[in-house]
Amino acid sequence: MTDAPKPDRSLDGALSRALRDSRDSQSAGCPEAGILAAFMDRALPAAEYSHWELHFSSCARCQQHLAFIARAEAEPSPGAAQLPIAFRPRPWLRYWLAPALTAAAAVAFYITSQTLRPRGGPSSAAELASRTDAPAPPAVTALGKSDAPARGQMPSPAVPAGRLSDKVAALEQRAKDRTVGAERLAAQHPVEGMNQARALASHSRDSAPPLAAPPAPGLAAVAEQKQVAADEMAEAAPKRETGRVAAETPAGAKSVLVTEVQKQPAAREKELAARQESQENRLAQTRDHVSVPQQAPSAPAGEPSPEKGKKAQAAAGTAPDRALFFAGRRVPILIVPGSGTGTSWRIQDGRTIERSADHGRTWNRQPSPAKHLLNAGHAPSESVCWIVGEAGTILISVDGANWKELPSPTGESLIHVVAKDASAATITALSGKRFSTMDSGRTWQPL
Amino acid sequence: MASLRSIAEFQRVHGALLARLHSQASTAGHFLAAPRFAEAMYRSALSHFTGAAAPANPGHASDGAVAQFLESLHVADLSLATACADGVPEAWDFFVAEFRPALYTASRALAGDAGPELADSLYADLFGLEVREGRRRSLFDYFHGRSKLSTWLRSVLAQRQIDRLRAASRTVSLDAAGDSPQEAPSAEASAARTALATSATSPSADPDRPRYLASLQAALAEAIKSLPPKDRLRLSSYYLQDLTLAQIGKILGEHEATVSRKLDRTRRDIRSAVERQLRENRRLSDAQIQLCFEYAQEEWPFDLTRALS
Repeated sequence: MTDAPKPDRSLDGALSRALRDSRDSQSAGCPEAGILAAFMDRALPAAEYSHWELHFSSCARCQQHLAFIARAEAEPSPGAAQLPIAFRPRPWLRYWLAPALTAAAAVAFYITSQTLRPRGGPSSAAELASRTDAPAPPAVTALGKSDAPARGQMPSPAVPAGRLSDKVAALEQRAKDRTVGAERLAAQHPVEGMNQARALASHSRDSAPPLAAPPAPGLAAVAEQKQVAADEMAEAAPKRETGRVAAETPAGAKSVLVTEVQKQPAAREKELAARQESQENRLAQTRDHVSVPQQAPSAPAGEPSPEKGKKAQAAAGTAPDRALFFAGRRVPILIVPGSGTGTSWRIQDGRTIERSADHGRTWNRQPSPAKHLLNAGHAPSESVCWIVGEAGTILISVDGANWKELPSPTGESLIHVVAKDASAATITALSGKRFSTMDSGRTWQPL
Repeated sequence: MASLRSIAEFQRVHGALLARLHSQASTAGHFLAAPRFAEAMYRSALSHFTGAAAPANPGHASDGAVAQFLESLHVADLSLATACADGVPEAWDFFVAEFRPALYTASRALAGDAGPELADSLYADLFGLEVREGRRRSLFDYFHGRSKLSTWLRSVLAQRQIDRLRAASRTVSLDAAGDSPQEAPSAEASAARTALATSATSPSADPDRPRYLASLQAALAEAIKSLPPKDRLRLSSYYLQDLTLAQIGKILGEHEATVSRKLDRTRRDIRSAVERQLRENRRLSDAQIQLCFEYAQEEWPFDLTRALS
């Protein structure tokens, strides 16, 4: 936004006064509304434009008229005025933002995984810890198979085989990289990244498996970290529906980790298609698992334990982290009648309808027959309120307390409603289709 | 103006152009038959070259000028408006779908909670509830296609809202309506009146204060008068109408950054012109000129929150 000119305190007041005095208050010769409109549209020929510009520059009435036209153009729509101040996810936003964020998270996680993957040496860090002079095994490929062609194979090992001290140093450096990668991931993706970061942190902090022999300090930390990561991924892999069964060995688990990351874009496309078929059902299912929007999806704050994280993930079924992310971002939808007497409604969490009669100081929950998420509402008076939502949901309250669901002319997502009273309203679907009723929703006419 | 003598002559001279424009207008929908479309175009041309706005159009109404005028019209919107005035159902369906939401949005922006009422009254006039001489008169009859239909609707709404506000202000006492333009006096008279009032109420002991203020006001009036019309309109929109830079830009067809820059430049020009005039015509010293501005700042404090917003 462009800043206004800096004030000139010694001149502005006098200039304002002089401008007011310099105008002609007579309306003689003022043009009709069509000329002012053409002036605004710059549709007048140059000579005519100059003529009217000269008139407008000294005519108080026309200046006011032009100002009103400009204000009428610049103000937001009434529907937009009802939207909450804070960010509210919109259907169109979900379509591209969700894949974009998860793709970014997948890429970041992939890079992190590539950085952490052993370039040469035992497939298990624990095994590595127990061996002191083992020869260097073949390099682990991206698929976890030493003899498979490497899709994301890293360059040749940087650590010579047989030199344990060098290996320890390299692994410590990778562990450090892993921490940095997790932090970067958290910065790029507020929720999922934090979950991954928490998971990584918990692995190195709380879940150290017992080792047979006390290895060197740095090596032990890396061994703990990798062992726990492998164990958890081996358990979580079947639930993630990546199409790949977890292997028995930690190395196999790691391969699942890498493979899943690499499959993220494809899975994203698949999920996007599935969402287009039943977006509402998925979000509803997601919401059933999350009662508090701010709750972290799979690894809530204060629960660093991997077991608890796994339970949360198992409870979430298909672990729709992305959907949880957006569910957590949903903020209340405020519906304020124009009367300004303090009565207002809000939709909490997309489902719960609450009403306040004291300018929002206290809210009373109202029973709602809605089976789907609610998207928008409009209250033409203190007692009448219309609310629309997914799957063609249309609700109305005519007494300010009780809600009933109306028959819908469409099964599409409804994103906007404007009502005149309890009988007349116009609804807008996500596709842009609009329907109007004049008989309290008994019949709907397409517009 | 030969082609405007009659509709038949108009169609004969501009037949090819009318056919092309009719085809162009039909992109939004085939609302009007060609003869009715030609009538609408003829009505617009007649209004432009012989109506109330004719004095603003210094060009000669030759056939070429008429053709150029016809080319400049928003023919699709004119066709839609004429069809709506004729009561064509398809045209009304299109209008309701395309323009009615914007109409209510604009009316709410202008009148707040009374917006729907304002829009409904306009809507009724557009529909043509009034019947004169056996013919239903629609407000659409006054749309000549010189602007976009949406802009015209906003302009009509704005006009009605101004009329409503003025009608309401007549019921207010004249003391309360002191800021109304009806009582705007000449600059000199205003300055003198201000000076008198100031001399009576000011705590300053400077006996020259009224003279300084009057001189400053007169110099400011001269400087404003010498401004180009666009600069004057820009200043008035900013200082008197309280429009944002973006809204001023919409009026003048400028980017808001340009508006800000030009406002700043114009104000600097005004200041230097005023100082020059006070120095040369009023024989004031630099210290006295400085005193003029200080007294003005005391006398007419400007709303800094407005300027900084």
